[in-house]
Amino acid sequence: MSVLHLVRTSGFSDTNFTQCLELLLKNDGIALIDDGCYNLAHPAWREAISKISLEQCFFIGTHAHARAIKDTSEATNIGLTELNQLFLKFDTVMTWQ
Amino acid sequence: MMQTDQQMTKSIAIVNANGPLSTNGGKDSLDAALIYGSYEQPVSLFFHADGVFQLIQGNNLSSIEQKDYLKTFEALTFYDIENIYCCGQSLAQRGLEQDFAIEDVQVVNIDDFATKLAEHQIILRF
Repeated sequence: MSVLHLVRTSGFSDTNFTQCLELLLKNDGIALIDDGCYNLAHPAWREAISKISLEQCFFIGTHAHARAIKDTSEATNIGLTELNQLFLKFDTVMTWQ
Repeated sequence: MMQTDQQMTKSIAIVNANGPLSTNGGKDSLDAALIYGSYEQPVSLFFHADGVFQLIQGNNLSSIEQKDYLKTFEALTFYDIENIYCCGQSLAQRGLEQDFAIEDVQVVNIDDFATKLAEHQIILRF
């Protein structure tokens, strides 16, 4: 069973992101949306990548650019269409908000 | 094509991540659990992070004029909600004993907690 973790809040202002990392398993994926995009600059983001793999780390590009967050090689920039495809790729979705 | 009963019944995980008085999430999650239970859907309750504060003995919400929904936990068995998991790491981080206000709480380590959670088709976090 694989879970797509949808993180919607910043790890600098609450503990949702770090709690998500506690429950992250090898086959899971993580998608940063809305303020969750700030977590690309969070110290714990590297831990997320090491727990799963770079190919399973995503962020919504338009949400990041709206927040002056530049593109990064540490996650895959996706749009909402790809996000919908991810919902079908993983068995379950868990939202952190 | 008609779906078989087995396909239509999805297992639901309800995750509590906040203290009993920090948000309405505790009460809402209990309501959701009992509703799913009344429709005989397989429901499991998970307590993670500050959510473990809801389980401990001695909470007294009515003392500050708050509705004491925690008493409703006793109704869980009537609705066949028996899988109640508590994150052992969250307890330890908060210096809490395994002294719970309800019975049959299974304290599991963080990996087992995550694995059991991933076994459910629907995950609702409050």
